Amino acid sequence: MNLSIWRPHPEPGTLKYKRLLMQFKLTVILIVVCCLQVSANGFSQNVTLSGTNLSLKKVFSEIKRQTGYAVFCNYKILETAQRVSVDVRNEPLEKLLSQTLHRQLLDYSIIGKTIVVEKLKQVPASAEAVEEKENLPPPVEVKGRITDRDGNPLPGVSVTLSGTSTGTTSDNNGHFSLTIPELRNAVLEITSIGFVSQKVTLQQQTDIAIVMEPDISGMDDIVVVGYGTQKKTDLTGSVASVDGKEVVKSSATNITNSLAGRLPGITAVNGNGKPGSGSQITIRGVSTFGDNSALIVVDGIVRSFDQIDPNEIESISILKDASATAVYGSRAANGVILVTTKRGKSGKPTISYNGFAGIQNPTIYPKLMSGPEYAQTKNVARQNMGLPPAYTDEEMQDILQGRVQEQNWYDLTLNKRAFQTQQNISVNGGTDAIKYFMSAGYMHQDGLYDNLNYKRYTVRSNVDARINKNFNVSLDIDASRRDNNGSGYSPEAIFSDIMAAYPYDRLYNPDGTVYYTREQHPVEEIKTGYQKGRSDIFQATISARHELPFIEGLYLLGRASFGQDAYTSKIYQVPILMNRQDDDGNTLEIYPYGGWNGKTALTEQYSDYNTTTLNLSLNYKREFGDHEVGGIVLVEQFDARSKNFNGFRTNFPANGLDELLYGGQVQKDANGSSFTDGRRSFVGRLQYAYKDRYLLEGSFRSDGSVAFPTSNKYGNFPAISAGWKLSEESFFRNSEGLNFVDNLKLRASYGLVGNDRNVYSGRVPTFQYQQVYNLSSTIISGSNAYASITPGVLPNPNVTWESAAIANVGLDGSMWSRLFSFELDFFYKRTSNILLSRIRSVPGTIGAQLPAENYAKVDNKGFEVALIHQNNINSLNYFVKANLGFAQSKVVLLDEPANIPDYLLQTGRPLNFIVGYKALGFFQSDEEVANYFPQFNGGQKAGDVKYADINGDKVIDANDRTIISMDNNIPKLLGGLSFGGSYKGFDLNVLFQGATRMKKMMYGRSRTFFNGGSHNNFRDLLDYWTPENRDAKYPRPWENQHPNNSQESSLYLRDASYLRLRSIDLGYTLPKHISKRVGAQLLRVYFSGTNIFLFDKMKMFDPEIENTDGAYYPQQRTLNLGINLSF
Amino acid sequence: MKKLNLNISLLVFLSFLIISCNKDFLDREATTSIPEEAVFDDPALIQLFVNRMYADVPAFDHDLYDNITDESRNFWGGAPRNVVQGQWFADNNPMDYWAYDQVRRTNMFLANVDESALEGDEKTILTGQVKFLRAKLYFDMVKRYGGVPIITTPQTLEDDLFVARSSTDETFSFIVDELKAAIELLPESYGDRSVDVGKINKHSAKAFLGRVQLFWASALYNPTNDASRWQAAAATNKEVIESNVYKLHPDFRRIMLDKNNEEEVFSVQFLKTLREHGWDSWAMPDSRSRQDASRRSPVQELVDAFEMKNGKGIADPASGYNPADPYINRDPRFDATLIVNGSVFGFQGLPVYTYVGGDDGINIPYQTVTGYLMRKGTDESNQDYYGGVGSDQNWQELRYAEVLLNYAEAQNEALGSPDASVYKAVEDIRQRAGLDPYQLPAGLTKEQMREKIRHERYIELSFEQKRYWDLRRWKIAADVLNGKQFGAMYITRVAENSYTYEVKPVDGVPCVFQDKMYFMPIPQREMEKNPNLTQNEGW
Repeated sequence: MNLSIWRPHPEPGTLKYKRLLMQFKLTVILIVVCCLQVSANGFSQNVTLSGTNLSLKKVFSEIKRQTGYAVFCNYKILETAQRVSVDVRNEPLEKLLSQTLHRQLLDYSIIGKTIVVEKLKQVPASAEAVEEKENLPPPVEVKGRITDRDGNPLPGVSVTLSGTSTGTTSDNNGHFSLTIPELRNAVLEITSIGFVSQKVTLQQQTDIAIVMEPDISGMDDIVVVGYGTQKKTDLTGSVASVDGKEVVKSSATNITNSLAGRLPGITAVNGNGKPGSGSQITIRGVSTFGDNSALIVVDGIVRSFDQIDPNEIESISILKDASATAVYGSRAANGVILVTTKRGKSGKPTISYNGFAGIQNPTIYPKLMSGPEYAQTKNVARQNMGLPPAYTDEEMQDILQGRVQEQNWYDLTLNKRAFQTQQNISVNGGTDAIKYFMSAGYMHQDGLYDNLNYKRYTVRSNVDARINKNFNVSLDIDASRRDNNGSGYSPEAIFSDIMAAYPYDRLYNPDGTVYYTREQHPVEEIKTGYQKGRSDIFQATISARHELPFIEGLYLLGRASFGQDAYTSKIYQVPILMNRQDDDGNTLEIYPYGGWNGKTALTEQYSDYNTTTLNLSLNYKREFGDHEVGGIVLVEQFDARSKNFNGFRTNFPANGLDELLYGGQVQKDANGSSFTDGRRSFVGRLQYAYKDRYLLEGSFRSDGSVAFPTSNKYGNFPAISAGWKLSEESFFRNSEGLNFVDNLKLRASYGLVGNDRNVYSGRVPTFQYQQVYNLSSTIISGSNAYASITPGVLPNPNVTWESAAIANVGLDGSMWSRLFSFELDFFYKRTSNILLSRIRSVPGTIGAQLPAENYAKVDNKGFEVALIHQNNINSLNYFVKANLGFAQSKVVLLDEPANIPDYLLQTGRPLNFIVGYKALGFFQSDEEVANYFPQFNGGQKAGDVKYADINGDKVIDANDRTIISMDNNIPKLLGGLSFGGSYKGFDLNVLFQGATRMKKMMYGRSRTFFNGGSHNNFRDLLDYWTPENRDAKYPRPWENQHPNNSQESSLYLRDASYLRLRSIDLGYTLPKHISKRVGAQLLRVYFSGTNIFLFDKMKMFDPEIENTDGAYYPQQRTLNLGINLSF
Repeated sequence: MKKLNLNISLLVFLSFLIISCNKDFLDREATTSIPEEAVFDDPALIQLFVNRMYADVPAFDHDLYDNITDESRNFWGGAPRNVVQGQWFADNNPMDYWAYDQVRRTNMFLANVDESALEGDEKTILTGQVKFLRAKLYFDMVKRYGGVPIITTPQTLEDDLFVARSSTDETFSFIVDELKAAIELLPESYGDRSVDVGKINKHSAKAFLGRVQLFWASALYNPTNDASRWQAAAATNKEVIESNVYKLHPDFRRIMLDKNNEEEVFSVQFLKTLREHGWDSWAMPDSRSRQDASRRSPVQELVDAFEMKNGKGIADPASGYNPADPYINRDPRFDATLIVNGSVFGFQGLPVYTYVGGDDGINIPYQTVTGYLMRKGTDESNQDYYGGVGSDQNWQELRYAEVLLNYAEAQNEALGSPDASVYKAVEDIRQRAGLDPYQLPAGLTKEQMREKIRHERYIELSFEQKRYWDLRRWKIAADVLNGKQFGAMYITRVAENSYTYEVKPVDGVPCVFQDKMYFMPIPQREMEKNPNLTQNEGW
């Protein structure tokens, strides 16, 4: 192991550092030593078992007893499995398993110390299988042919005589033959993975044709939960999960964009469409002030996930309630997103390729005023201001008759569409001893203008090695590089400048030099200078799992993970040399616009963030008769160091010399700082199940953090939950009326979880229990410059964790053999001890930057519903999934200022309601102004906004503000509707997604005429008040902010509800005989698209807009063509 | 197998041991900040802390205070336009200065200084400086709001934080006492003129006290016209004059350009590349701008207020003023302060044409809105200006000319009629300005002299953020501003060097200055938080 990969760089030589380093080394060495130790003694796990007519259950419990291996499998498998006869004496476990399972068309894989049993995916019609056929006397031979809907033969289908171990599998042509003792009333069970099982009662026929119906349910999945996995049917907490396959169908380049609408209770807002950008994800709305983002855990390690190649993902679980999240303690209150990457499966290697290429274009982008519209509006505004017109009548005539050349800056700057592609190739395979999944991916996304693009290169290798029967080691390594390139101007600045640009400027002078526009010149901006950002991300995790033979069901799991996130950026700012010329083309001035204060400047930055996560857990799972007990105790330590360094120089002699060493000798700077973080945690969980019917689970985490003072460093976060599988009760099972129900489970949970996002997102300073001083501005005294320092936040010696108590009840069920299934959750969450500074109530005369204190309380309530219907009709199999999530917060306790007006009172109201004036429309005449109450300090004219006198004092002033919307820019009600299916070779997956109870306030230029004095306007603003257009949308024009009309009011509040066709994926799988010709096992071509249609009320912008000022990169619609190929 | 079990147990044991033996794993210190104890243990760090208090002293103002009076306007509108139109409120006042953050820093110093590592002169001097800086903070508040809560200790959250306002007189009295105490502690000089300009010393503190006392004596804060306040102000300013530490700089054009000159009393200092501002850039006509130009377009009223070189107002038929050629033979400060149509300006040495349709003509976006621009204090040799940076003139918070005018005003008000010392103070300024003759007419009454002094302040101190506060403290802001639409000069070019002139309003709507505005409203958010605060009348 190369330690230099993770060795932190900062402060070498300090004692603390050395000690820490030594400690990490030791731990790693220990784990490595442990591996070696074990492998030296390594043998395969041997078992002894013989008997006839044994139930699978019995075999498994015997395996469990002898090896400590837990077995996970669908209860239906247990129920339908044949009884077996085995004779194994001190032979490897694998032998027993294959004897027991192989003929039953069951496969197994050993993950750590768990044997996962599932239906066999592909049954090789091997000679061995035939050889192992039981040699029973053959009174009757039954023959048959098994096909799918379309008459294609189905190989490898299991055919067994019900209630016996007699069985066979179909051959390549779908034929089978089975010898049974007696024909009459014999029942054959026909099962195959991916198809609905059938029972065929034989009468006289000995040659039967069987048509299999595809089974599209996947409800018996094993779900990844915190520090482990669980059968979905055994869950007592609220967990939603989505399969990696479905995520890939969204053909999103950023995984966060594919979650919207797929899972109930998740809010994904796609604020912009910049190359590489994703969605802001929150779980169950907002329940605290400040940062509400969820904790992201990828393969057990806390890190970000948005740039993981979607093709690497096995599953994503969303942990919503306290019982699911309490094991993540102090970081769990906003929910947890668990991402699991794919792992190797034993079998011959499968090489898969998935690639698509496509185009992007904006979903909606507002139009700007044309030149004549601009000029006319400008003159109206000037007239309103009592100022002379900007365009004389003569000039206006020229403009109106098109004699003045105008520019459409939007079209001149932006391309109609941009290219994108994503390619991934992976290999998956292995043996019992070693399994591997390796993947390499590439993603490239262009921007709407040249020089803007995003590239991502990813590699991953997940290897699981079985060292001996008790010892498994896994090594996961992933590395990625993300390149973010753009011009020297940010996309936001460029969009802002496109809107600002004056329609009658020219682009270039006749001699080709840049025309003097005085300010924005987006056409030049997109090609001037550059910003190159590169993230190199590396994460390596070694985990070792050791079964402790002295206690059955006990194993030890150790994990060490090292992460490095290195970021380098190089920003080269270059001024645009605008050439101001007189009418004869003589240069009057060369004006350097932009750059760094009109100069060239280069900033190079380097920062890195190194983390070490160590954990060690003792896990236990065992069945005693009707009792099943499981548990885990875990200790975890997290350490992070980061530092950054940057250098800056200006006055480069020529544009090409973009290396720091060429910078001028004045106006240069070098700067840097560092950051440290650490946590230590203890986790425990206990699970108990009685008769697989009554489920009980308790968990606990104690978290310590460097952020808090010694007395409050640790926080405790317990949770308890219970489940009751009603459908397993005899009164249920035996009831005629209820037996259409496959399963029904009631679950409830309660727990306490923590939140420290506000500490780590910087809203609360980390070390605020101490009074510290920080570097501050520079002063000059005489001819020297001196630094200064200033006190930081007022200390709060008692600062500690925020905590949230979450109660959740849920009901899961499925009916009519999974034709219909549902999940239902209600939650009530109270977040207490919210870290907030009492800035609203503590008088400013204290003069201090107030510390965050643990006192505020917020309630959040809501529900989630998920409904699934799936069916097969002839060759068509289809599904419809719908989900809905609602969450609404309410402030319970907050510092309310002593004399606060009612509309600012937050207690009892939802978070982030919108306050403003209630607009009554426009004054239609100056008389109406005169007859109305005095409004502000007066001065209104016809066409100005008239506001309601809320407090009834006959004066319109600040006291007449009121709550104009309880909703805000985070939707409270979200839903998704997806449907799809397959027919013959075609498959379709469509996702509609919608959100409502969302309001957006228009800001800046989306409500201000001539923002900044002369900038162009959105065309929407043309609907302004004039005596001829009294029923207008906007008041009379003005230049820039208007003291009366620019007030925050209901006039500018928009309903941002929407419904959109979020994604569509239509594929065609070529028939096998064709794909085989190119040597492929599977060849599928597909079309996919995102954000195809949008129905909304806002119209002007995409309702998910992050900045209603309009200075943002619009959301993109994408259309792609792709291929899936596997060998 | 036994051996293996043992090893595993050992592993578990060791892992726990590692974690438990490193008990201070979670005890860390911030990597980029300094604990308070360390600050007050080290005189060098204490000095850095005091540096921050100097950094708090407001300096060049982007575009607000000059553009809300009868001095100038600008193209952009925004905050200045809202103030001019009376659209400012308790919850939205661009002139708010609720400077208790800064006050707290001074209080933290004063609370810790006795226990600190500071000793001897260093301790005395820094204490004096901080006391001065705190008094200045309170002065900049009392002049806006009248009396404010007086806080002299670094409060904690456990203290009674709902401090009521002291009266205006109490606040002034506190400031005066603190300044007097500071003067006792401060040295005469730091031995270096350039340091004396930027760090407060005995003389500069006294000059500042003279300004404070003048304000306290002024009509707004002295409704009963208590003469002793005028006397006190006169006496303090007189002491400064008689100390002979300061002199008027001989060249009015260069008062801001010759750094740390003999006229500078207290300045915020700047030095290119280390601390810069945008004064030169802001003054530029837009055609020569590197962003953010023409921030001040002087109004016609200010232009007309400049006398002729002969000391006579333009309304005086004997002045020789020619409306057809209005910009010649004016008070030499006219050219030093203003850019008019045809003025040569900037390093290019080219004229600026502000006539209608000229390169820098009135009414072009981003250009002058009055036909004039400001030249005062600009460095015309500067070629390296851009937006808000590129200039390093000192911000002269207080210069000797003001001391003379403060004295003249206080002495004139203290007496029944002006004495020779009043005349001399004003005439010194007019003489330096280059008026010929510079003398004021003999035998002026107190009222006539008051007008002369006010006029002199308007001209001499224009664009130095003094006018707005003068209009308020004299309680004439409503008369001067309310309902007025100030003038812009539309110049039509008839032929080469031949123009016609027409004044039109620059303010599209009349200015608003209501009586309640003499005292600004206590910020709304503070009213909401502190039930013991009383709002000023009318708000």
